Amino acid sequence: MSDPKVAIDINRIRDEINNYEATVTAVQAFIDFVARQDGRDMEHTPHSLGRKMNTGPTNVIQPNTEITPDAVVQRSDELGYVLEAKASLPRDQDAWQSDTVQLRKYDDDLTGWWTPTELVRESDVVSLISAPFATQFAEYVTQTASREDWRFRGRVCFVEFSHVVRRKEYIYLLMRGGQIEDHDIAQRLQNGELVSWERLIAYPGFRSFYDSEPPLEYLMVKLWHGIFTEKATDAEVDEQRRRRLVRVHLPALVGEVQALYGSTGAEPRERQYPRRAWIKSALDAFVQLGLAEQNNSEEYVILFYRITGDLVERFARHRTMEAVVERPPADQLPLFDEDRERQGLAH
Amino acid sequence: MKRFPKRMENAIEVFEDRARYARSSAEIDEFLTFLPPMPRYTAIGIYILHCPMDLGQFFANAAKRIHRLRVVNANAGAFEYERRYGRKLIRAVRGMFVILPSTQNHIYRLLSVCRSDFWNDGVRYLVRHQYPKVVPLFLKQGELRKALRELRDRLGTEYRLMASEMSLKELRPRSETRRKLTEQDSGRWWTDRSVEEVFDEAQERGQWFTSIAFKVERWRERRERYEEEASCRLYKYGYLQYDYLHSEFTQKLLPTLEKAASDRVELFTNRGIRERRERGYPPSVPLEITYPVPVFEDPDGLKRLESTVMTYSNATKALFHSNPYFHASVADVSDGSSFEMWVLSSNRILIVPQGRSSAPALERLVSHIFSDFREGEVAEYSGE
Repeated sequence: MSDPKVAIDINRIRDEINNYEATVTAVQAFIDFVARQDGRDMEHTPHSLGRKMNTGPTNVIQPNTEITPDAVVQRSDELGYVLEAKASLPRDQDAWQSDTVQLRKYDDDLTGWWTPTELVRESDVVSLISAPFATQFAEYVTQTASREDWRFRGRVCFVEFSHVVRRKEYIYLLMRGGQIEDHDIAQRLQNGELVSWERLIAYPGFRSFYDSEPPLEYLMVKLWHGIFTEKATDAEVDEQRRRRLVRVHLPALVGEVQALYGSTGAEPRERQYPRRAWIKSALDAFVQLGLAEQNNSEEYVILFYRITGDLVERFARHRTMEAVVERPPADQLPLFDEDRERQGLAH
Repeated sequence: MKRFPKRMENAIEVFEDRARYARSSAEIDEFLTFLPPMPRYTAIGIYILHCPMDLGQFFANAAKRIHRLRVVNANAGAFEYERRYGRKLIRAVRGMFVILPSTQNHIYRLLSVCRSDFWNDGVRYLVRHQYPKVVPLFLKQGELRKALRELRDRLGTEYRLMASEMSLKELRPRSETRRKLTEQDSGRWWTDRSVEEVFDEAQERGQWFTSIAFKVERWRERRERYEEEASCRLYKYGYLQYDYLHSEFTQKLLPTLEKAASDRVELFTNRGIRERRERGYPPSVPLEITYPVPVFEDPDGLKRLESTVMTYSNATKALFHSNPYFHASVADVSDGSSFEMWVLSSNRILIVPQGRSSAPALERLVSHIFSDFREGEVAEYSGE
């Protein structure tokens, strides 16, 4: 029988994974929508999930600095959209200020587009927000922006994304406020646009990751299935422990995961993800679960075997283990005399 | 029933003798054409197998590591295999098999004249343990039907195919389905009707065959009746056993099955992200399994798929989401391949190949879905 504590975590973890997938898919749904509006496909529309852009000297938040929006998509030499996506927001609206600041940071003549000057004439900020928060967030930002010192220079558009089930599953994009350049785009977003989720998944360049940290279990599954299972087929066998020893060198693993499932940062402006730190966290979680050993800061040995049951549940156990470790010491009698002495219990 | 020509009582010895001394596999193939009907409990068994390398060479190499597998005639691709098994009661099976080419590239026929114990506990065991280097090919209900129809047409009007026994599966009605119980019923069905009729009936009832046994009957003008010429049992797991008419089965039935299997293997080849990148191919389009009916309209469909995926053997599984859409990751531990599976429409499963994605692993996964969930059409994602 499953431990109820773990069961609660599993639901939460699945929700986190769901949010992550929904966000990365919504970003690509928007890009696909824009591409099709121009009679192209995503492949032939300059876009990036995690492109380093530069702010100008007049940026009100961070002038002359490098920023990385969730995505950018360029329609022409004249127009580009800067996307920032959020699957959830804190309940406390006071905490939304930082999200507003982030949008204001993108409200600039950003450099880094696919033009000879790396500039486009106009760029709009598109805030993609999941359904429960979109309207409120749009109102919040609009209200905030009505203040003189918070006013946006360019256009900002609030697009709600949600998941719609009909005969197929769709990502539904609906404009909830603000403005966006191009009457047709605005019109269609105001009416609501359905983007086939299947078609996005089938797109050869579809990304499972973007430049935002995924839930750890999601990345752990990707590593276990997408990398370690393959390596285990010709790995050394530890007969005593009945494990295959998959030796992993962190920098090489990072390169491999990025090449297969993320971005290698082949262009100077492109971000690399999944990031090294995330992958290291995943490896450390494997160590914690007894599924790996760490030789040094960059060398790990994965103790591979065929894990039965659901891997998400199995890998999620590291969270409850963390909880156990972090729990303050209970008032229980120590097992060893030294501990008893330390606690002043010795006779 | 007495048969003409008379059954050949020492068929196994005769086959093994020929396998030992034949100059080529073709000679054995030709020799079998002239054999009289097999004695009771003995059959000619043929396994349709996929192997990227020469299967004869593969078994010759395997003989060095597999205990009691021996090359008896390298020229004819003939092997002897013995297996002892059981803990308290030690049992043993022994027999010989030969490797024959098929009509398709990388598809081979493993042939043996043997009793069912050697076939089931020897040959099938041996083949199963060679995965992923050697893969038995799954045959869909439609492919079985098409092949049998073509056999009937090619045999001519004086022949007819009469079904005699079927092993089948069917979905249990929803009201009777309880958790932790299999949601399929299986059974055996005896009949004496034409093969076409039983396929029609199975389709109507939503049943699918695990195997179908049939008789090849020939019209005898003098006696004014059909008489049995041969009997055959065709399994959806890629093999068949028959007692006579070797050339008819190998020339008029097998090519259709081999073509269907080969087309699927071709579809499954070069799908992995890493492989395509290394070969300079553009990224792969996912595969889809489509169904003519909206099987996922009802949440029970997704539940059944989840249970099918989670019971997939020799693999690790991760379930990300199960309702209202389905997303899981599956990795084949023997082969190192991995896939993501999505259900985002009411009648389609998407299979997205990951870093490594081999044809044998895809064949095994799709066969498992077809066998334990439902048969569908597998193709590259069309978006239709």
